[in-house]
Amino acid sequence: MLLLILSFHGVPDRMLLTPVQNSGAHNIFILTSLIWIFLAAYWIFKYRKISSDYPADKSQPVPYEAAYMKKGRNHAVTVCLFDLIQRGYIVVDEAKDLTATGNTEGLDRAENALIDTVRVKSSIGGIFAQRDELNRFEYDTLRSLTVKGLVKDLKETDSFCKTLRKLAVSSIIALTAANLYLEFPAGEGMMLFSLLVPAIAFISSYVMQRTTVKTNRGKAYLTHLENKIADFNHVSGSDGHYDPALSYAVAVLGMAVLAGTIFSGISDAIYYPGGALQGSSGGCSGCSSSDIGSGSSCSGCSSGDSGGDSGGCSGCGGGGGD
Amino acid sequence: MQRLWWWRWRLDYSVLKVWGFDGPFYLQWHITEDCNLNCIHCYREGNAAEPEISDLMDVLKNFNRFLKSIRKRGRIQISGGEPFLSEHLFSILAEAKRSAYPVRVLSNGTVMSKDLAKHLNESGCRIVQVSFEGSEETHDKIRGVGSFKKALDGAKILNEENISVTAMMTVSDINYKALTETIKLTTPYIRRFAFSRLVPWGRALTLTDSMLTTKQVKSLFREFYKLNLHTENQKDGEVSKTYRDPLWQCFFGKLNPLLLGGCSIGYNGICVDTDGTVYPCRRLPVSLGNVHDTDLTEIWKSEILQELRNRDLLKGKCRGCKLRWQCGGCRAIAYAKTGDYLSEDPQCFN
Repeated sequence: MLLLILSFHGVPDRMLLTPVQNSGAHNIFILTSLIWIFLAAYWIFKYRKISSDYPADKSQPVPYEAAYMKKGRNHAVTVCLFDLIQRGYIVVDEAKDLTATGNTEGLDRAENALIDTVRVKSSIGGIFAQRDELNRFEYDTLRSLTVKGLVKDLKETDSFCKTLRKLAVSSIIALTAANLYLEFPAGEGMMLFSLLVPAIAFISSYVMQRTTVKTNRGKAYLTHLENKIADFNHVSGSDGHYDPALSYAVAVLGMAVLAGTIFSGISDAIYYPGGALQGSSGGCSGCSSSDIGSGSSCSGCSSGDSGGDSGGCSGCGGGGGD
Repeated sequence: MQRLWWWRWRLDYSVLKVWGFDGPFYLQWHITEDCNLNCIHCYREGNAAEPEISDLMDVLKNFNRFLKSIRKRGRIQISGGEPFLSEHLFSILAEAKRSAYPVRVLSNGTVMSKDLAKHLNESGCRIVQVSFEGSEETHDKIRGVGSFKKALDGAKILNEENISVTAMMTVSDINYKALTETIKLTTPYIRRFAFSRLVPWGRALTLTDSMLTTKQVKSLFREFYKLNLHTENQKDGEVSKTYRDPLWQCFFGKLNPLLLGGCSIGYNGICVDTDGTVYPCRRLPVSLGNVHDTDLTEIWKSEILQELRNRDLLKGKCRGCKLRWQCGGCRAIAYAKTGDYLSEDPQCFN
């Protein structure tokens, strides 16, 4: 904007000091900036068009894929583990270690990659330490999401970012050379400003490459899922059967929706700092049930006492595990 | 920010709930009217006929069918009267063992003997709940002279036989100040301590004015929460506190909005009386039918239970409470106080 104002209203007196500037060569900066603005607009348009083709697979994402779209890899790992435990592929023992049952029938590639991290008994910390397996999990998750048209194609994004970087570098080199050749006076800020745009583009390309970008379909799906969860009309976990709705709720709202429920034991076992999305719903943090899956429904029992015993009123029966 | 508020509001009114009740579905089963005590706060009146063993076995069969239909595991809480006075107790325990039900017996503890405790141990029963109401003086005032010492001896015998004892205290303004003292007196012999609020039904109707005020309830909860129940006499060194009153959810406050917990009426338990009458909870004397005439599966679908399940139908303070799905209040106390089981819990301090 500043450059545009300068081009229309002329250059201030204090800038009319050198022959180079008086010759009009300074307009090279204005021109460069305008080119970059044009290129940026073009690229934004082009980038939005990437992967906007009709998705090859119109199916809905599974819970851990929704979690990936919502909050990234670590959250997806947590949700996938929760889902696999619910479906009986992984069991949690009293020491909160996870073990794969050995059954892999019906699992997709990403789930198989994650199962490999718990093939031998493992704690949640042990799972997050296996970076190669988790990278494989992430790669397969992204591939599936791309096929479903929910995130932008990684290869196309990579290629786009590389092109962007090449142009930015060329531009920076050209401007620097021009500056040296034309011997512009230092300290006016014009040179710096002109270099800033390609420099920002250069840095942005790296950020863009590392960030999963949701397609419009992906964004619409997440909004739809959030609304859907609020409208699910049932009680989850009452009969011990697998409920995908709960996994979706965990994907969108975070592990906090398991606090105080019969799944709080599982939640404790798969909670990993930086791994789980805590969500905005608050929730119980203290009272961890001694038996995985046996449930508890209060919150602050961890005050140095026995750990408490809750799980809802049990008539005149007082309470206590059986 | 606005979106966050909207989303929070949606969750408060969300119909997706996540189960927060203990795993096994409980049957509170009153197998006898016979009792050796005459406690002033008892919610029973004791005028029904004694059941035959065939009637009791029918109840068990009905419960088996019901659990299959709702696809849940079950547990049984045998109560009375005083269940150890029932001649059918050990037949029921044997049958329950065959069906692999965890069983606990709710007793006053006064008739316990070493032989009985051994027999009980062999029957597979691992938990006995014994009632304590305060210091010896207070306890005897409520339950009858000499009953405290007998109950404490009973708890001691059970503990020696490796049967877990849960102490249960029914709190009213007669005894609530004795909570800590009661715990101290009983901790050498118990594994858990629980208290429940007085429900003025049956003989306790005369004690309506002895119900605790909201302030008293809150201070009691605070006192209980702060208590450290460490004891060196127990094998595992600690006595567990139970937090089963729905109002604990209000006490702890900030909760998972999707949690379904608190009052288990219509969700995780049912009560069958000596004559087969089915109640949502024994302290909520609204008949749902009779288990000898109707299958429990049918009774479970009753309109009363449907109403009680839907906490959006609650009235008064409970209606607008954000914690209604996590707590629900005590429906029995609400009914005892107002005659409407959907009305607010009058002792809620939230």
